[in-house]
Amino acid sequence: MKSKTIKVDYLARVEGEGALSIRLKAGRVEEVYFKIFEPPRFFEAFLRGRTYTEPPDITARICGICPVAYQMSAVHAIEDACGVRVEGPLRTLRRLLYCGEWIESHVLHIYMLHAPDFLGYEDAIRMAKDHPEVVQRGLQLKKAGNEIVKLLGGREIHPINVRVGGFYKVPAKRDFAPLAERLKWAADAAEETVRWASTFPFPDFEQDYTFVSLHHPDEYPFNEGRLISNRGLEIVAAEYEAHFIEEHVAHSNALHSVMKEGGAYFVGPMARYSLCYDQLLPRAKEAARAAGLGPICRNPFRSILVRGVETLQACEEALRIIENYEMPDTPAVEVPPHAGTGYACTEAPRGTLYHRYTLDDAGILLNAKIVPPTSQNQKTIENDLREFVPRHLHLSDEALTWQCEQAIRNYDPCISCATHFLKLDIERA
Amino acid sequence: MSKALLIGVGNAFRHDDGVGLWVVQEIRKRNIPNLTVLESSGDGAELLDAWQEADTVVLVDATQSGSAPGTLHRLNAREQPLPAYLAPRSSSHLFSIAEAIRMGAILNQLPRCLLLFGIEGRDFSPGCGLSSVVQQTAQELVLTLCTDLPALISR
Repeated sequence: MKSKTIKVDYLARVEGEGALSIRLKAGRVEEVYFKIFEPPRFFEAFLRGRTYTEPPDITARICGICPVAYQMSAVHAIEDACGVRVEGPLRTLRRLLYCGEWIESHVLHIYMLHAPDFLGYEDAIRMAKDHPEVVQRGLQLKKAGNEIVKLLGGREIHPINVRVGGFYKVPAKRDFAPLAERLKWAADAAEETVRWASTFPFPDFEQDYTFVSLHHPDEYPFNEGRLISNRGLEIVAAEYEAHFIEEHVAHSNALHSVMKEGGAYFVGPMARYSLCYDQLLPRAKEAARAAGLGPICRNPFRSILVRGVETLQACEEALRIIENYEMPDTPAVEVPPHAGTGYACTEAPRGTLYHRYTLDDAGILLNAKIVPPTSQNQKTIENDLREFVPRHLHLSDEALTWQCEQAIRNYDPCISCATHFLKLDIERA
Repeated sequence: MSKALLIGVGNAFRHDDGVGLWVVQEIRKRNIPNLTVLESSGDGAELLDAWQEADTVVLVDATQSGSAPGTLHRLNAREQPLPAYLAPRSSSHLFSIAEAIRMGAILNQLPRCLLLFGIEGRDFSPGCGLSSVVQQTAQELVLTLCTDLPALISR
């Protein structure tokens, strides 16, 4: 078989600027590069010298779809440095805000970015022509998430109400009433989403991944827990850098994160689901079971189902929080500056987001480190393609390219986060 | 009396990209009766949603079409095809305005009247304030809209 290159210049339906290049020779994959050419953004550098209250607002700007994740990892890491723990209703409100972001982000990906792959449409607008009621459901479901973020975060995108120690302002119980009604509808719609997605054709592609996610004995993980893997890792956020290392690779402006003792690993919905299945609420578990998902999912194409299950989980969790909500006495606890280093991992929609900050005794940031989910998944994405392409060489270039793009979209990669769009290039030599 | 919505789209921290916001802020000061004013970052899903509440929508945004800075583009989105300069999408996290219009048309969610005004920007670099040529067109558009909006509302 002769050599060959397949090229797609800009991958659609991913966030940020990137490309993929695959070179094949005699039916073998010679090279897979998931290239990120979005320019580096230097957030860590320009945090230096700022005060310790600023990272939640500055780092939220890294991403338009997961600003809450940045705010949460930032406040937890700074509170860790200052020796303060935020408990009770303020902790619960942080979970609620995270529910909103998961709903927004997952629903956008399921309906607008990923479902068109399975149903054979170039984009959601073309899909809407044939399935208007489905797209309508997606838009309304996403809106439920937006409304949580708007109510608690002050606005839908780049919320402004999060601060170290809690919030600037907290809602009264009555403010949640209209939201509760919408969320009841949203939970039903999320359940229907899982059922709908379970009818999609999924390529048979199971991989033996190293899954990494936060794990908390009493709840599905958002803000807190130990970082665990299915290979025996169990650490606290402060130990993260002893186990994970970021490497610079020539073809990407995003650092590749690997495990010191075992290379590529997998973060995100499928890792969380597989490691924290027991912590899912009954309705989410039941929806998963009905959709044919076991307690572990190793086929990344089925991640659309897992996102649906997590959307249902977030709707149900949000409802429970709202029902039991009592307005806290104070919107935030005092967090006086304290010299030291603080660490946090929280679960962004796309996976574990690590922050580390060192402050001096006046609260000035001496350094910062941020490891977003997409940089952790880059190597796994490349590995998937290395496995996937040789099994699908019978496909036309057009079909193979589409499936490769789909394999990348399985991870809902956020390249803006990782560098802080995507070009696809398959070469058959 | 129809429900009218004036939307300014843009980013005030990107110089001329903020012109849509500037125009609607100026018009808001005039307190035109029965006119709702919305400032938006341009999230198409948000726009689609907002449009459902209105019969008449006037949307003002900055453009980068290649024409001379300060040029005013006017488009009746219910009657005219979308020009190419509206096409690019900035992010997969959001729909663009053009995508929102296409999606709205498919889902039968467009307002009866949807007028777009685009002012060609010169400077989209980080920072506040409009270029003088853009500011001048923006001031003229404010005057035009203040004259025309009451008639659109009373239709």
